[in-house]
Amino acid sequence: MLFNSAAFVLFFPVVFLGYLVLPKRLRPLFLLLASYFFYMSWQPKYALLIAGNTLVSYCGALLLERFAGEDRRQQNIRKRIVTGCTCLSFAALFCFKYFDFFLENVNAVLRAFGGGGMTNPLNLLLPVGISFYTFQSIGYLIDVSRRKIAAEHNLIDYALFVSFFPQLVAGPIERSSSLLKQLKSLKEKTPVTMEGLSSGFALMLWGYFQKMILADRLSILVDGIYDALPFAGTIETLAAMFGFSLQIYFDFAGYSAIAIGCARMMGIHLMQNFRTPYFATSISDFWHRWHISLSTWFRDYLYIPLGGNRKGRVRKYVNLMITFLLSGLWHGADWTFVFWGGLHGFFQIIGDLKKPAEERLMRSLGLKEDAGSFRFFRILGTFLLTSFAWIFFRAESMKQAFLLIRRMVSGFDPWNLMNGNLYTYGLDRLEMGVLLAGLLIVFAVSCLCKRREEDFGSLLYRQNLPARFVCMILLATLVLVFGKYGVHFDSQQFIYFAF
Amino acid sequence: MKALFSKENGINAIRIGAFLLLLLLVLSCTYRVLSWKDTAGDYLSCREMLDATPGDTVDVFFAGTSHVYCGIYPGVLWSEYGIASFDLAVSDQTKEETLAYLKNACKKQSPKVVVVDLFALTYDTHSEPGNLYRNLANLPFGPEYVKLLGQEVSKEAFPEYLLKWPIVHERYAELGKYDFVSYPPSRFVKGELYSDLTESLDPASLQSIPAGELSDTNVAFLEGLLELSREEGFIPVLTVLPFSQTTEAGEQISAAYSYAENAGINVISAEDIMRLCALDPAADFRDGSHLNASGAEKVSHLFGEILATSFALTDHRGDLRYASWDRDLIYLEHQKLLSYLRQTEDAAQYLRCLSSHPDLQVIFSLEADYMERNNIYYEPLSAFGLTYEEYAAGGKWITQQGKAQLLHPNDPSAKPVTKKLEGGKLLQTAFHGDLSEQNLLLDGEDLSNQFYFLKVIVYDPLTGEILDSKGF
Repeated sequence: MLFNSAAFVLFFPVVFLGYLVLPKRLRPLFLLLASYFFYMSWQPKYALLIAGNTLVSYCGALLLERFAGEDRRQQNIRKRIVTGCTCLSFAALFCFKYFDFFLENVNAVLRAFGGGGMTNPLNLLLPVGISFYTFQSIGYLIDVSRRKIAAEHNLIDYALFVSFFPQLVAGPIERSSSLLKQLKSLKEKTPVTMEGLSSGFALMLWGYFQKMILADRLSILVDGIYDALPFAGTIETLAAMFGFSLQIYFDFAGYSAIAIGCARMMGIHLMQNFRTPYFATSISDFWHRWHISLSTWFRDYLYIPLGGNRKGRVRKYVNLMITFLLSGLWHGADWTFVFWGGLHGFFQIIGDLKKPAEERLMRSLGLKEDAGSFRFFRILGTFLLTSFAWIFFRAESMKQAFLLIRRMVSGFDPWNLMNGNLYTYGLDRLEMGVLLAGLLIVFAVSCLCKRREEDFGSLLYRQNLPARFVCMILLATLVLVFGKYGVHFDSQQFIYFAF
Repeated sequence: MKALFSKENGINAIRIGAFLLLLLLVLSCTYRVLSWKDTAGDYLSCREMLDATPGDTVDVFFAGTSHVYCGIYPGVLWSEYGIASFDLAVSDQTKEETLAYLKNACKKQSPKVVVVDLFALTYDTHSEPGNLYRNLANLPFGPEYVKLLGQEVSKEAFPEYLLKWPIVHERYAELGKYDFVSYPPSRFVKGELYSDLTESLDPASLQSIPAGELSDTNVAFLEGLLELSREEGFIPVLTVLPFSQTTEAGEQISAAYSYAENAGINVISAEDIMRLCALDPAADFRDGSHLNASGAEKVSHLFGEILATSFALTDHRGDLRYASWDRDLIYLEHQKLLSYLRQTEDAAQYLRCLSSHPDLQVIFSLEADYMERNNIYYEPLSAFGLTYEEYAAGGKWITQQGKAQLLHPNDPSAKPVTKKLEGGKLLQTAFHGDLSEQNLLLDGEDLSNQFYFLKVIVYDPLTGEILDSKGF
């Protein structure tokens, strides 16, 4: 069930009302059933995968609790339990997501050495959100093994933690110390507040605005240009590159805002997933602002256990590269994603290496790091680098990515900015006007959110009631009128559902 | 429980209620703007026309597709026989839609006779997806709408059609004036669409084809129609307005004739219509599927005669409750006139024709060297009561009941004149010099002579719209 589907528009109010009126003790069970219904509306049989994943991590955590001693033997047992459960969870992920990619590469190597292909690919349909709930449950297991939290004994509460519908299919990847605790408390108190309702609803509307008005409109332009890549010139390829940078941000940030808003209405706090990432002044800063729940997951459960930056510079860069390559692979089973991750790792290493020289240069030239113009150029530079990396993320193959770069460099055509050629890729003047107006609105709101260090929902809640009413009604109307949805439109699935 | 009904919760409930109310209000206003209003072209909406027709006035419904609204003019039946009829027809109307529309129409009307055109028997789905949601929008929300959705829409698309918004919201890209204000003809027209186009047809394509086996969906439709006729107490009559038919279509239609014969239903076949109306394939068709104005007039006469003689229908002419049929007739005549005016390039013919329509207001402006044209405009303009001296002086006039009244002389010192016309349009006249801009404005639209010595604007008080404007 997509957040921007009519089914969800009917589903959420029903669940919310049920959640409000049901006795407190039944709420976790009710939300669990609603979450499974939500997931099963897409592919009923794949609910078994979540159930299996839930049982493995639930039992694993209970076992970990039994071997909680400090002696070496018990520590070893704990390690084996975590490794065993993680392997089981990853086995499902590998089968559904990576097996065909693995096979394809093995076969390519075999063919290169004159051998034949091993076997046929599985061609399995990727279960929506499998990477998200797998990572969430593995994070829980590691936390229990590190004794950061106690193992959860109530299966319903734990199953709800793994499958809570607002964040089930595309995150944020929550920590058990936060979400599980909140879900457990549902039986004791009513967390729904007027502030949560109002700011949550506003945040949902803001998410819909970003997804349906901007991301889905941008996707028409970007897809149009990618489809005609051999004939595209510099302007078109630049439009595709920047267009996709914005598209993926609005798509994923929009989804996250809906998820967070949806949970907030029910009085459940989900972690912030984006903090105006395109205002980042370096690639490292970008990763503190982009998909925060995933980047902190990799930091806490991979980068730091690998040694982080505690074992010397070379080891730090190796750890960084491993983390980013795996992060790329997490996004998709293709070399384009791995390359994208590697590129980000490379940018970070270069950024780190050039830091001393950069500082010396700035000192000698008398440049101030906090000057607005300097920050602007750093933001611009970071945006250019991330946008460049997105080329590989969006491309269907490395070949296509390099074709785009080649066309960008060789297809000199600045006149295409003026002659209306950009309007031939699916967005006419009116649609382009709507897109630009939407981008301006988002830019203005993002500046405000950055300055106040809060999200749109909280920002709006601090305004007077009439202003809140006007903003929310206007947003709802804009989304319903200018949003890309409905019979004519093949609704774009949220990009991150595929991961 | 006590906490639930606390003062704070009460205030919050009021706030939420007020917000939802405001949101609903804004959304319903927005929906009215975005909704489909056009089923027959140029915002002429069958549903709005039916809603505007007083209850229990329609005696005869003609139900079917565009064949019906192009081929039957209720105005003709009204002028000749005083029959209050209505074309309950939209483009690509399916069998299911026909039954649903009829059922809905019968809630407000009690027709004595329902004439159903059987063209819809030749297909099961719409030719274009656009027609599906346009036709669904022709039915108000209710059990009939939901039932029709179940019959016509896939399970996946069902919620979107149910909510209606997803269907119409993309219309923001094509909004026009009549999305914001109601289209005047929809207030009184009885479903027909005037068309003066002509395309010659191959007579062979109009000949009857032997009956095939009636499809299950067609049998179900005919059974449904019979059941509805029993429930609502009307007499069903089946017909097929002539069209260029394929073998498959002809087989279904002939089979339906046989079915009707067995079931004792009246049939007026396409062959009967061709013969009795002496339809000319070279002159009476708009295209392969539709009759044009000439054909429609002949066919409407035939139906009027058959209905008047075969069924005990009351002649309602003169009855005030049926005044909208009078307006429909005037509208039809104006459409006919417009067709003539558009084809006329001769000023004298154009003006002479207008002088025989005193119900229209003619605004004309004489500027610059028109007197050098051997008084060619004088004779036809004198029919509006213009004297030669007035004609020679030039200026701007408007007719009232066929008599011209001077609005503004060709004198730069004369003050500009503003006149509110029947129907609400604002007419502004001034003289900034011969053939200048801004000499004649109608609701802000500049209709000044500019390149012409004589400018004629035909204003229709019935619709409050300009019927035609031409420069000579």
